[in-house]
Amino acid sequence: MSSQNIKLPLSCEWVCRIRDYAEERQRTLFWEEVTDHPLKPLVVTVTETRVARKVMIGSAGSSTGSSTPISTTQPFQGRGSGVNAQLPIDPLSSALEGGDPLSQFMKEQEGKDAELDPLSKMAAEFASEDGKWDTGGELRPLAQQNSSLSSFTTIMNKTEPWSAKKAAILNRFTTSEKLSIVTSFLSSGGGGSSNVGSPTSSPASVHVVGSMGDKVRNRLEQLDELEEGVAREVHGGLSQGEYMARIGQLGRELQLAWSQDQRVRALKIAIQCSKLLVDTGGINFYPSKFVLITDILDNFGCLVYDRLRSKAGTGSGSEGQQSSPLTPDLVPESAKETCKNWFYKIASIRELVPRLYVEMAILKSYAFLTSSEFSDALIRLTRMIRGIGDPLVAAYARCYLCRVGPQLLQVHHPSAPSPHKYLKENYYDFIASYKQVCVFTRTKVLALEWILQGVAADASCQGGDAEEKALCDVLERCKEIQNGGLVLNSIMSTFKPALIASKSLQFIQMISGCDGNGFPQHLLMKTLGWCLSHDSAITCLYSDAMEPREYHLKVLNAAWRLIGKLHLPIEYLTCALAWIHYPLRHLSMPEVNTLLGDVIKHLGHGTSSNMNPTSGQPTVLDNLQPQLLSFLQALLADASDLEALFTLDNFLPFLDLFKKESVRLEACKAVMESFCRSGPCEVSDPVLVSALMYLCRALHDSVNEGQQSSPLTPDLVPESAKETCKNWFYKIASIRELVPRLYVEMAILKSYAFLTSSALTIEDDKRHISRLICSVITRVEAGAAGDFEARLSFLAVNRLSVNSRKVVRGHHTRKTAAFVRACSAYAHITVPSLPSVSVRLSLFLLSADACFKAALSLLPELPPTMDAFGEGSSGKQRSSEPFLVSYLSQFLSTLLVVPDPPEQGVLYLLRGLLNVVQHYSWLGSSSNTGSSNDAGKKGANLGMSKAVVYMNVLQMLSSAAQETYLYGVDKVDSNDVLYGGDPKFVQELERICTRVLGELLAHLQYLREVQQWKQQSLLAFELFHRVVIFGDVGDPGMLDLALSLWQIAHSIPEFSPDQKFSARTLEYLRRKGSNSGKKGGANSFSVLVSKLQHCR
Amino acid sequence: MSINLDIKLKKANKVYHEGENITGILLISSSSDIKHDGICLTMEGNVNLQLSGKNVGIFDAFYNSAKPIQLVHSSIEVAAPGKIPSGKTEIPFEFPLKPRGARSLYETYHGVFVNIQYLLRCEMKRSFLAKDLSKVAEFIVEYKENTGDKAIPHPVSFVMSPESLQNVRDREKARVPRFRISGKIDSTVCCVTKPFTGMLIVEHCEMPIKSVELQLVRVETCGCAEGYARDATEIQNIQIGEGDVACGLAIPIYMVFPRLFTCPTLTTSNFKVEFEVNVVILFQDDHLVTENFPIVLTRH
Repeated sequence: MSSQNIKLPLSCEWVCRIRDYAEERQRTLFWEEVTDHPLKPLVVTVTETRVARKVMIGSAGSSTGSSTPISTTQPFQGRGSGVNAQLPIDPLSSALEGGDPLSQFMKEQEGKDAELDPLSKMAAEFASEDGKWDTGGELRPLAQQNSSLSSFTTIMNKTEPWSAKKAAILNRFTTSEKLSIVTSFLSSGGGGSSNVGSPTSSPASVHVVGSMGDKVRNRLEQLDELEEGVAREVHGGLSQGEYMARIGQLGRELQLAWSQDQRVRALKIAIQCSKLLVDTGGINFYPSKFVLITDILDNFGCLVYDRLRSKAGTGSGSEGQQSSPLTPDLVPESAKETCKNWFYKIASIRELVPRLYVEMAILKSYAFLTSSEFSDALIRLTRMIRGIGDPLVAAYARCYLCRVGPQLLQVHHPSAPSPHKYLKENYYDFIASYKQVCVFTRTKVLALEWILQGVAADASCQGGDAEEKALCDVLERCKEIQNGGLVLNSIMSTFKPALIASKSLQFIQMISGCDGNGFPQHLLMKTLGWCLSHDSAITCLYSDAMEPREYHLKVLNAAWRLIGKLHLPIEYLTCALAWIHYPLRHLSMPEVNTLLGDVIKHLGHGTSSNMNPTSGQPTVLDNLQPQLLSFLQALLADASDLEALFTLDNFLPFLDLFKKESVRLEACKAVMESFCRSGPCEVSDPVLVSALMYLCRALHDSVNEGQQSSPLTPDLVPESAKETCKNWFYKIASIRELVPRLYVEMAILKSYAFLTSSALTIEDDKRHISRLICSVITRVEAGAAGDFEARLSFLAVNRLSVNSRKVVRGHHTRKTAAFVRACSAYAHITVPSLPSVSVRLSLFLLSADACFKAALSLLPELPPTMDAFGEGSSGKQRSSEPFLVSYLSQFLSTLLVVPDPPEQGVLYLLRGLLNVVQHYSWLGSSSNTGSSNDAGKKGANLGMSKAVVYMNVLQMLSSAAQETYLYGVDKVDSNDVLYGGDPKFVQELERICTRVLGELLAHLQYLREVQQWKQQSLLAFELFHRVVIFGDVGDPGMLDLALSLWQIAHSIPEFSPDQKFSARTLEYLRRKGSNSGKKGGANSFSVLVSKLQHCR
Repeated sequence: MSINLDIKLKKANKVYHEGENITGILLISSSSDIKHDGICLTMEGNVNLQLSGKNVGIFDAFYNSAKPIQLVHSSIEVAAPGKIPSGKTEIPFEFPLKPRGARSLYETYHGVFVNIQYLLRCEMKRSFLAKDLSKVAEFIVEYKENTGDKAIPHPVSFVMSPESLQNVRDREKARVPRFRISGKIDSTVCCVTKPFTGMLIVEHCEMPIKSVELQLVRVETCGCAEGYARDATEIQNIQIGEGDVACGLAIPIYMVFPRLFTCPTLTTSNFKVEFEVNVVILFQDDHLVTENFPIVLTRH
């Protein structure tokens, strides 16, 4: 036999031909050039997310496809550019806004992590909701920052935090009261003379520029006033904005006066400014006023200082000296004299408060006079502040002093051993005046905290145990007063948490000593809880030699004794919230459990006692829902061992406390989220699984109920909720074990409603459910539960996908994009897990093809035909191979557009498929037919189907090697986008091709062995076609292969293919050769043709 | 054409002691040449006494101002008649600060009825048609170290209460709100360059306090033919407590003596300058209680 002689290569390296689909198309069709596309205005691609996407996709491998923003308004100009112009509407490149779903998922996880820090959230919440007693959430980081300073020089930089703080104060302390201002420097015209730029950024600056005449008159009046020094104007009934504008104007006036060399006038303005601080009207505004005015004073102080400096000859010109401390000996007499004059002048200011403030403002200038004055002056000023009767005014004056004091070091280094004695002194005085007037408002807290901060910072820079000593001192003083709550609170929020923590028992004791009059106990407990939860290194220092655990337990018990006594649930809960971190960090789960139990008991009790008999609704608990939620979030955030947490006895009952639907939903979501975040989960514990399922059910139920009351419209669902929902599906899909996964999935199936379009209303849903139930009934006999449930869930997903598709009529709007993405993501995750499923289910082999079908139909954009599926898998044991072949080719064509899962290898699915194909017991495969030669005919025939499948695989792989795929699916990035024709990828493809080709050749060989000539020639010719069309015949190996295949096909004339067919094939190749001949070097076809003709 | 005449003392603070030389320069700046009939510089120190209308008849006060007492007077011609070229011209000068005759120099003091002032007066005589130019500069005289009294601390404690009130009759004392304010003055003999210090404690007080103030008062006495006039006027008023100050808290008394307006307590045959400090407690209903402390000021 001639065919026996034909050398058939046992293996051949497959080289893919790179095809230009566009060109191929162009060749066959004629295109008319148009200048404008009728749909042009409709072509809109949203590009704003592009930037973020670039990064994501870049990390996924290549970014060529999608990261190139292409102008969408470009009209279709001829075919050549038409392909490019189409890209933007090509869903593959433009629609998947977040790259592939997995990286998107990751991104969103990151986002969540950043956003969901429960502590800061908590802080924010309490800052807004507990405003009355708010101790200033923003102070806290500041305090920490400062207390962690190690050297004193950094204290000088306090100006920086101060400026940061300023804005916060200005925002927080506002008033709607009418204010009045007494001044002789403001024109009544409301800013007539304030054209000197506005350096201050008062939010509501009122610039009413009067007419020229007014201006002149005002000026003249002002001059008169100045000279007489008596005229005063009272501007009453000013709103806060106006008031601030006036202050700003005063500041500008001062600047102006100074620049015009009217120093006395400037001083007078400074005095008047500080005089405003005596007036405590509009007490809420006072801190803001303080900030504004001290700004002016600071400015004034700098002006004076700079002037003196320039007088002293160390002026602004010499930068080097700027940093070196001043030595008064070197200051010339005249500068000293001027300086003295300033101080004399200030010393003769009649009123106390302005005198103090102005002196503090120019305190820096003492450096010109003496080198020892500072500490004395600071102490003196501290004492003089005692003369201020109003505690608020006094507190703020102290605050200013404590702020100015450290700055002095910039100009002069102290020789005294403890330059900041005055800080402590200030605190003592504050305490002393506190004893007198026990009414304290939050406005004062600010000032106190600043003072304490100074004390703490001073102590901390002294090193050693100075800080602890300082704390002891401060506490000692605090004990002296009756209701030191407020002070205590400030102390706790100022000193280092570690220090506080080491004394926590003492603190608790002191807190219990405070009755609720001065400062609510629960806030104190809250602050203490904060300190403890912020402390990182608590394990090292304790006052008593106790076991850490014992100590912590003692602290917790003591604290809880207090917290348990709180009557108002809200107070109780806020404390509990602050304290929950403590046992989580330092104690073990049983304690947390006990704590949770107490919370449940407390709140449950509070609820029942507060039950409103008429409505029968526990309103209290309803109000507490947000707090409960943050409690839960804190719990989740801090728990190191989530599984342990979930399996606590009291955890689920705790979740039961969430009564409000929305919050309940949130809570479940939070739990699941954190669960999802907790890394690769190996959920094996049945208790945990059941807990999770419980949660899922809860979520499901709530969705159900929510839908009944009002149909969920995904448009209204916030993006975050959608993301969460998607997270769920991701996570669930990755649960390792099948049964839990299916259960969980079923439970939350309803949550898809969050993602689907609004058109999918209850009716749809109900229909959907009933359908589900129907299919459940029909499938009951089908076999084991796992199989049926798997199908069920897949069904559901598909159904939804199809439904939504129908609803939007194939038009993916932004609204549905999210949904489709979710579905595709779902498929994305599920499909990779399928091969293993199929292995598991190999027992149900006969229905396995149906299962495959289901797997296929999962691929999102191939609308599956449910009914066909139902028929095709009716469970009869009939040979399904022809169907399987057609199905597999379909599957393969679908696979082309299915992107690779990033965590798996290249073409993971395809390999799985190949494995299945290889191990599938094809009736005619070599392993089977080897034994039964009788059934040869049938077997060989059937063996062909495997070969056909392989050839299809070849086709598919070659297509996959193209840079741009022939077709794609809306909103899905296929591998062409993912890899962008990466050489490695192509190489990998060709490797697989080669393997497949090897299989095929082996089959040819086998056919030859069993002497199935017709089959052989058929197969060879088919393969020849594949090689010619998809392979690169320019490659010598491929050329040889093609040649031998041709020869094999035609080796036995009676079995050789139809002559006409061969002729047509040749003709085709010839045409191809002549066409591609235009391009240099590509006329491999002509080479082939000539060789083929030669063979013939 | 503008001529500027200026006297610049070498010492920036212009403070001189008896026996020292007052040195400085005369600064003449002009855009053109100046012809003059001589430039004369005079140093003089006078005590000006003014009788207040309170003690004598208004007309008496008007006419019978006590004659100024000349403490020092000397004059030199810094430039003979001639021409001064355009531009800046500096003419240095030097005066020994020596009292006239057997008198002694008093410290500079600016008061109401008594003024002790030392001046440098520069006069540029000019021809008939042009105006004479003159410039006056004040300098300050202080006692030398080791002259005059030294401040020896003399602490004084005080208690202010309704009982201590002098101008309230006994039966009315019951109506006075109860209060007790104790305090301490570190010294009633003070150095003018050092602040006046002390402290006070509001121990208890029925009526809210509006303000606590320190009033520095000068007491000037002028002797003349008809007898003497004694006037107390306020120099300054310093608030040390604002509003209803906390009880039991030591509020510092702290006051810097203003320059020029204070001087070491001075007693001469013709006039006296003395000082007092009043501690004023002003209640919310504008009643006030004061405690008076005569003080002695010294230079050193």
